[in-house]
Amino acid sequence: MTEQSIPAPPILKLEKVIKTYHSGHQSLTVIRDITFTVPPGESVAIIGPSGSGKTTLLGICAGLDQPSEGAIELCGHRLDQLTEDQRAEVRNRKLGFVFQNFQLIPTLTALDNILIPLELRGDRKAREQALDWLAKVGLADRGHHYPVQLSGGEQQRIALARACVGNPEILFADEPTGNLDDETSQQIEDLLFETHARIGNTMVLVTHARELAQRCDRVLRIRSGHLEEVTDHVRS
Amino acid sequence: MSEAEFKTRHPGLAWLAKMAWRDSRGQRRLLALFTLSIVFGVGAVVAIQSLRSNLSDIIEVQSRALLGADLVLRSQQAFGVEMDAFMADLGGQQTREIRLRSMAFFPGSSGSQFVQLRALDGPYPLYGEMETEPVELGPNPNDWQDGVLVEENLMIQQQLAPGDSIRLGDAEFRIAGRLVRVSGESEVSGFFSPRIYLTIDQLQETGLLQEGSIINHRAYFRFPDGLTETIQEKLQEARNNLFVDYGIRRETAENRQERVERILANLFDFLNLIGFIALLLGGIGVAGAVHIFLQQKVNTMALLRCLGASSGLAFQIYWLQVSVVGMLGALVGAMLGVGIQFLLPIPLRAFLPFPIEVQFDPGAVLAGLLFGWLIVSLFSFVPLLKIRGVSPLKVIRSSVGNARPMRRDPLFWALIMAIVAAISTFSVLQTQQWTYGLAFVAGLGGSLLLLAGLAWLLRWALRLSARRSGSFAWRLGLSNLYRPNNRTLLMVVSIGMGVLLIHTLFLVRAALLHQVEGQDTGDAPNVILLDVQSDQLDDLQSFLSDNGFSALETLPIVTMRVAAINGREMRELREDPDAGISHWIFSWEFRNTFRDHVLDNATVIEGEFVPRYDGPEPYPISLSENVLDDMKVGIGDRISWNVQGVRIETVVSSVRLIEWEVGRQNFNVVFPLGTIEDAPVVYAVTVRARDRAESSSLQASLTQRFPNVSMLDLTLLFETINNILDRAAFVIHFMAAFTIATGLTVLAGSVVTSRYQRIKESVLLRTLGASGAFIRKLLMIEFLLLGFIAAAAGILLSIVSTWALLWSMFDLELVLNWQGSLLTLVSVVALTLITGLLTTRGIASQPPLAVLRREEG
Ligand SMILES: Nc1ncnc2c1ncn2[C@@H]1O[C@H](COP(=O)(O)OP(=O)(O)O)[C@@H](O)[C@H]1O
Ligand SMILES: [Mg+2]
Repeated sequence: MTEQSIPAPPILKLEKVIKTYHSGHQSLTVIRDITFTVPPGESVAIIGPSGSGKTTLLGICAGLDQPSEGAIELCGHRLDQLTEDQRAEVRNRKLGFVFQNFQLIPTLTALDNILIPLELRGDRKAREQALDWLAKVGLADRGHHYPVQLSGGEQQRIALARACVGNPEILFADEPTGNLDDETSQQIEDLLFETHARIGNTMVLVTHARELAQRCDRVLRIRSGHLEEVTDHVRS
Repeated sequence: MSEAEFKTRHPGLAWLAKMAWRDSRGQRRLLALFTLSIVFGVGAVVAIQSLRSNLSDIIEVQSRALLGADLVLRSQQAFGVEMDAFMADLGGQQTREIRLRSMAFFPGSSGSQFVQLRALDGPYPLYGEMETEPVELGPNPNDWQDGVLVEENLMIQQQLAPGDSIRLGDAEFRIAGRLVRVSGESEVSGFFSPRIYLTIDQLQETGLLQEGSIINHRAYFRFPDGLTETIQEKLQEARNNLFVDYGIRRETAENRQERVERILANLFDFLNLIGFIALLLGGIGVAGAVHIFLQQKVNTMALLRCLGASSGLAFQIYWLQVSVVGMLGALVGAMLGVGIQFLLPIPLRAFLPFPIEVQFDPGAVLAGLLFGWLIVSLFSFVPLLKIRGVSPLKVIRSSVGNARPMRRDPLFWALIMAIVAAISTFSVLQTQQWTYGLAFVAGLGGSLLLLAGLAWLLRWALRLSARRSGSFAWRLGLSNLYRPNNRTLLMVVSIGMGVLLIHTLFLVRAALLHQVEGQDTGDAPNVILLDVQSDQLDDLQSFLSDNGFSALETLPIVTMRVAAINGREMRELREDPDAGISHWIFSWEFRNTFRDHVLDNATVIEGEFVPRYDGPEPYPISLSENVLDDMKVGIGDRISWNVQGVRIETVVSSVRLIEWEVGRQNFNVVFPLGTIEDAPVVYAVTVRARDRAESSSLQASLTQRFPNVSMLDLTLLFETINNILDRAAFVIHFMAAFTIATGLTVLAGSVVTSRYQRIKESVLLRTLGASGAFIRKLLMIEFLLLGFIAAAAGILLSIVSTWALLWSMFDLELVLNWQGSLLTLVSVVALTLITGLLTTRGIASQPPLAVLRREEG
């Protein structure tokens, strides 16, 4: 960091976040006191063994779930203090989400799936942007197809287009390549980083794949509820 | 983003509609099926409401034609000088009628028939018309050139044609034409005894006007300005003296209109409630189907939430879908209803006192639409409420449960209350009585719960027995009724409700018929000979034994009216509002008897029956328990009688409780021997005929020997009652069939919504080596069981409800009819099976691989 630049306020900031699940008489604390920040434009990978709480953490960051304790600030909004519908609003405006199992709406065509976030905003020029993104993910000629007519990799590309079409300031991805074969995974990875580079947004992704993590600016490992910086991380 | 930006934005109605439309993709047929659930209910309600408003319009316009006059005065004896003077003073156009029942004999065919004679001295009706064939005959018997007019049905039965002759009493007449219809009377009025119109002079010729016969005298009035105030004042004045003295009853066009309206209102209220049940079942069916439909949509909803849709928006998308579908269903239902509206009058026709002109009634259609839509909206709100709680987290973790159980949602309870309130409002409006309306709702709710409970028990019992000794297929088929998300209870309740309705109607009818027919066994009399004169009695008895009959009972009858009670004249009692004496007592022509014993169907419950009395008046008499309250008398009270001008004093000495039976002559008042034997007596003689043939031959020879003696043939009466019940039952069954149809559509809807789950199961079984035939067998077993449980629960509950109904309303015994119940059971099971198999077509033949692949996606 040079002297001239004042550090920009972080786009994502977690403070003393704790998440405990209660089921019956038992309770399970998955996240114990996590504090971390992500500056704008950075790409962060979160790694950790299965069941360590990666999805839980990502869900809390994206405002899909509430922490048991602690504060989350996303793009200047205290997510933990908003109502559910207000969080929906933030999700729509500020962030994109890519899922491991694609999660396209089966009754909508590929194009319509991409359109949804914009339509929810009441955006009039939605169609152009959606077509634009359809082309960017290389599926310009598949817009009228329904999800069942697309392969897994194609579905994930549509999902990525849907996540990016609204120009989100931050993109979350939960094991975006977890359900794909190696070759397709590679394509999705490339696409992910291409878009990151193109729009310069922030990206937080959870992954098992080492090489995917390697391509991020920063790698964090979650272990027994705590988050630690992976220091041996060498950016490829 | 400022705080203001959080104000809920809405992407617009157009988007909502588009989204709802797109989202329904691939499920439109399923949604269409939901609509079917309410089609029949809305159809029934629209048809009934339309017809009702048609009828009330007609009644409004034809109120005078319903009575045929502005005013009718009736008496059970000739009017007499004082009344004649009074009626002359009333003015207007007048026609007198004498009405009595008698035998008619047809020399051409040697047939005979119990008929009602209506002798007129002028045209009738004074309003409305008498439809005759040939048409030229017109409404005045004096213009028929000595001919008589015979009811069309009788002409057909006896194969008569105009010009044939008919014998009435001592006289023979030419048939001038057929009577097609008299305004104000329905076809049913001629069912028991067909109508014959003639002149009063002709009636005199027959010699049937004898002392002691039951004769009804009427005077019809038509006033130039209707019932003016002057006329009403005169009537009011006569009401408490002249009318009491002569036992006159009066009826105005307005009274008649009210009466007809009341009867029709009762009929239509009843039909409407049946239609309403169909609608409600449809509503419940829709709720069930929407519930499953939404379960399949949970993921989409969570995703929409994840992408930033507010919970309200997600709710709106689905509410719009369901709501539009509901409106469509209501529309189709309304069209069906309008169609039925034009069909229903056909079976109803016989009961209506005027021809119906069916007219499209926009109000009724609108009401049906609105109500159907309201029912769908309210009921589907229940499952829709749940989707408000769908968490966006579901997208990343499918195991996430719903936010909170429905039980804890105050909106859920508010909705339930709204539904109950809407139903109660409807039924209270319908029955126009708080108690009835709420009792209906309670009864309905109770039946639903009981049905569900019974079904649950049956299913449990079946499972228990299958576990012991069922084949693999049976156990699997049965376990299908327990599959997660099963709609077993919903389906059973909606089909069972229809069964309950239809089978209850069936049992009630069986009980009514049994009541009539049941007495026609053994040695009970089934033919009654009426109006036998004293001097004919010996002749008649020898005539009977010559023909192989024996008189079972010979009952003397003396007609009389009440003149005073406990020393207070009837006039006086009439003016005393506190006297509390029933209307009919003032004008009733009592047919009393004398005898020295109590009949076997009566028991003395108070006082002492006096068999013989030789002392002076007052004579000790025995009253039937049912007149005590109407006359406001008890043991020791004095009653004065007027026996054709002669006063007789009596005192109540005993009270009998009579078990009334059809075919038995029972008497309200019994005198002891030694009291009124010298009064003008006629006799009723009862005999037993083995069958219709025997009673017919008796009738034929009797009419020739004793033309004035009327014969009431109960075997014929049974047929007539059966015929009337048949027609009434048809209308009711027609409506109840709508409930069954609704039940079947609910079944179809539920099965189709579970289709995907069923396909998965079948594929799994087939990968494990089951054949397509085996899968089909499983489905068959499942629907067989389902139909059986629904039908059995409905039939069982209907037995209980019929028993309660008969016991509380008719005081009748329940009659079980196993063949009928079995037939119901088999038909319902068959219908369920057919519906089930039709909706699961193709499930057994889905290619497994395609299904398994789809699972991955
Ligand atoms: N709703 C829940 N209730 C109870 N435990 C849960 C719930 N959701 C997740 N868990 C538990 O939290 C832990 C972390 O889950 P998750 O965040 O999905 O891990 P990861 O994504 O790293 O595999 C797991 O042990 C899981 O069983
Ligand atoms: Mg995970």
